[in-house]
Amino acid sequence: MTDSSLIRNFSIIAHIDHGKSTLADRLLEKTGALSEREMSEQVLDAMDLERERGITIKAHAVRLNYLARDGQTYLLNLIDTPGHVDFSYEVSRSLSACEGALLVVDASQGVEAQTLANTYLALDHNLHLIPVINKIDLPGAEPDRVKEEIEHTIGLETDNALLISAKMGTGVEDVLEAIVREVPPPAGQQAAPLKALIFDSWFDSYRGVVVLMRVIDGVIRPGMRVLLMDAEKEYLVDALGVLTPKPREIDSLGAGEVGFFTASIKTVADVEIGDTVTEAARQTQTPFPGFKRIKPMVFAGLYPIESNRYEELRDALDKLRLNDSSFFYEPEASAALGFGFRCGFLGLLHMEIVQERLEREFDLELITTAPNVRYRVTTTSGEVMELDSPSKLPDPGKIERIEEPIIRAMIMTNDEYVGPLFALLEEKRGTQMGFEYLTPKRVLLTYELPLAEIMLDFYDRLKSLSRGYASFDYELTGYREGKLVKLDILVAGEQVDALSLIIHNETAYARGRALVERMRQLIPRQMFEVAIQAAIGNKVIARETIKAMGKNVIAKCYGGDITRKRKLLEKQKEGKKRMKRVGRVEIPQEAFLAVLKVKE
Amino acid sequence: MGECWSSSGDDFILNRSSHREFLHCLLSGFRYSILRYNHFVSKQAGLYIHIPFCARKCAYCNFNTTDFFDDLADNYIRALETEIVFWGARLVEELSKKLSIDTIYFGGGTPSIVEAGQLARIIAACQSAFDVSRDAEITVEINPSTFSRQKIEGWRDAGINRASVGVQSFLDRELVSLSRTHTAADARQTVDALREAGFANISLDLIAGLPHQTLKDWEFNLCEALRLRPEHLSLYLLEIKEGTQLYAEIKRNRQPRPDDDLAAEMYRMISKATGGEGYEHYEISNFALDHLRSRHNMKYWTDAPFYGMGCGAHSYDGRARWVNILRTESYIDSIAGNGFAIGERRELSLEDRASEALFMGLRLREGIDLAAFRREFSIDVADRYRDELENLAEAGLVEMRDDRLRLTLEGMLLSNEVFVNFV
Repeated sequence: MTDSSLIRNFSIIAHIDHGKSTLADRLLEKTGALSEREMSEQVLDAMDLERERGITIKAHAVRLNYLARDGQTYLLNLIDTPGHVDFSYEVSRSLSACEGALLVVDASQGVEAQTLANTYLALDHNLHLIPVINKIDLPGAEPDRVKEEIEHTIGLETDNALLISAKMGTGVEDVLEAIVREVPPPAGQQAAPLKALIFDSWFDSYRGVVVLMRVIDGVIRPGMRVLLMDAEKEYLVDALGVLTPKPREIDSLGAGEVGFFTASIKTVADVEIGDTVTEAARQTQTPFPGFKRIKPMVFAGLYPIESNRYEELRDALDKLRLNDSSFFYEPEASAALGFGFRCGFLGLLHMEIVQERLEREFDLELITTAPNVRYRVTTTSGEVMELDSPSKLPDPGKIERIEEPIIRAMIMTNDEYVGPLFALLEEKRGTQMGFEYLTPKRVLLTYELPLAEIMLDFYDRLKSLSRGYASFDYELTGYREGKLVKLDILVAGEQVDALSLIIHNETAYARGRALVERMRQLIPRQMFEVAIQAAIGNKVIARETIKAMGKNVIAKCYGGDITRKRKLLEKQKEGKKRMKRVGRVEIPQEAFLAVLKVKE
Repeated sequence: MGECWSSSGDDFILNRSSHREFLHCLLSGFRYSILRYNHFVSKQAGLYIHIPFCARKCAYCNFNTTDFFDDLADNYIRALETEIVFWGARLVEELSKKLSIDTIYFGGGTPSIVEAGQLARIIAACQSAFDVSRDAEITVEINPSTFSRQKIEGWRDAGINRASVGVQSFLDRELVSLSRTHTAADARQTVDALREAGFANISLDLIAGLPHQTLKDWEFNLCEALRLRPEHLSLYLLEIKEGTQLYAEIKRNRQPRPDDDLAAEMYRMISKATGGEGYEHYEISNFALDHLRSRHNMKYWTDAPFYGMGCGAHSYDGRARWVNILRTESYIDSIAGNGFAIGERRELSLEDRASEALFMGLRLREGIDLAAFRREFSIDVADRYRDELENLAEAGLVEMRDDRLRLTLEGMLLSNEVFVNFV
């Protein structure tokens, strides 16, 4: 156990690409946690996907020993946080485990919406913030302007802001010194009953679930019987350890310390992020505050392209859930797509990640239906139901009202792009809540808009309208009634349930037209003419026709080379397998996502 | 056929030990009942002889061809004779009598490029190695740029009784764009000379759907072809194959990509115009007067045996398909060493054979006799492919009548959509 006056727990807040991972790597290097040879680039982002996308999906924690200029050796716990709004609850739990945070801002890019959102979270948790201006070696660096932005947007004093280049290693030691000097040591009671906050967990095939926690009060030891307070489950602690970043077993963890325990726990679903661990025999009176049960916000159907791989998909989802308890799934049957699953995700990125992992790690080919939010429907008989799929919407005559989730969006941009962004936000049914100049050039827009509106093409368009300058973050604020209708798509006269959408009445016509046009482009010509229609209820609002195929014939005889013909036919057959047969029409995978890409 | 064989893929030469294994397998590997096989071998076989030489490669061709040199041709003809002797003996061993054949087909390449006497030598070799029926159909493919009166008489005297003329187009600008080495006038003169020499079974090859070709252009070509009143027509819709000059040109936007809908219009025009002139549209791309179908090509469509001699030639004996070594020189070497020159061989299960018999047989307008198919393969096609056939019938591509399954005209245009269900 370490004297808590020598412990500093901190995390790093930064926008994507502002250099969080590089700085983390430098800190590990400087403290000798890893030799240069061991540093596979950006150690903290362990998952392949994280490395490719340059974002952190799961939180991690690394324990560093730092011999400071005052001659003392400090124990620094770097607690990494996920870098995306989908995971804001996890972010809040990770921040709860810290006393301070480095606020890393790119010296030429300045403060971004994501930085702001996470900074607000950190301030909510009373974290001490240390401003760090990174990439000062770049030609476009404007540290003074960025300092001004930080002072203006966050109200943070920047006289002592650190100017560094994580890439070049400039100023990294000053960062370590600032952590020691400015971040308060943890304030827990060693003698109090055990109270530890769970902020991450993952599944290890040898040890079962590994639970990452911050000890607030008391001490945890192997062999202790612990209680997970919200889950109301008891376990016997098998082993304790810390990540250096390599796992190292340890015989106790005291107040203020960060580490993991294992206790033969079978699935991560048994361990909820934010739950409190206490000693079964000597329980803490008050669990750590702020626990919430994670609730999925975005829903989509996942179907195997080959119907006979349904079981494989189920096994893959089971396995994936071992390591990610934040998505949920239940069997769903679609008239068009056969058997699959309705899945709930924390957000769009989370959805993409799950889909990509299923395809990559389990070699499945999937059709994902257009994502939708959870609607609250009140029927004429006064019944209130929450719907996660358009196909479950009752008959229009039985609907009293439909409410949809609303978000508060924060958008930061250069002022020259404000015009086009206004137009976009209006189209997306946004209501302006704030319009503020942070610096003479940077603007913070605050809008309320339906969550469903950012589900489709919002982010891409935001980026292209602002030439990549705008950044965006959001939080959920509640539900609001909307004039919503269900838009159905019919292919060759058959309604394709997987293509149904719930959308706003006013945009239904334009979207219906755009959608059938897009489907006409995406569905290859078939053996017969195919009509594509968009309809609201019984009313057809748009129609396109796909002409019958012209020819598909091997004309020549090729002197008895029948093997060549067979190969050609086999190739065509393979191509067809990648399509989903709906009624008599073969629809390619992309068509099911067309709703995502269509502009009105 | 005009041209032949895929030239893609590396030559695969059997070594000595696999040679022995191969023979063992060839002679003893009966995959299904002797009864079935006996029934199969009772069908008369066809003989295909590949002459790979060309003066110049055509823009649309990716077949197995090689430049023409006299010396190489001499060696090649000798190798062909050796191969014919080898197979003649081998099949006598297997069948206890000579293999009975009723078609010989000289394809290429350009078979008309070699001396008539050389083809005569091959025919003579066939007659001694096999039991060639008295009324055998013996075809030579002719490139109009290579004909001469003397050659034509030589062919006739050697017993060749059917000529297949690679006309391709009656428009000289189209011929130029295809890199053909002849003009429309050459084609007409070839047909006239053949008639004068007494050829009573002439087939013309034409290609529809060329880049820049309009419906009018094609109508002209078709009318010109019909005016010559050939006994047989092979009218192909152009296919753009990888590895051809045309493919490269289209890819580089030097030529427009042919329009499928236009090609389909041309095809409908063909069927109508030939029908009006008394031709029977008996196969997807083939049309015959007075039942003078290509007896040789019928082998491919009716699951009959055929043996291919020469580089890259294909064979089928009811149990396996194999293809000879592609490269001319390697073929000659292999023949000199082994007597045969098999490149790749694919054993067929009964299921494979049935599937191929189905998609090849459906190319014929008369389609598949379902009762005969049941007897031969113990497969009830109507039952096994019930759903698929229902869909195809609903789309108007197939029809089932009098216990026969066959393609409609539209079904022929989209025949791959039908066949893909059977592989």
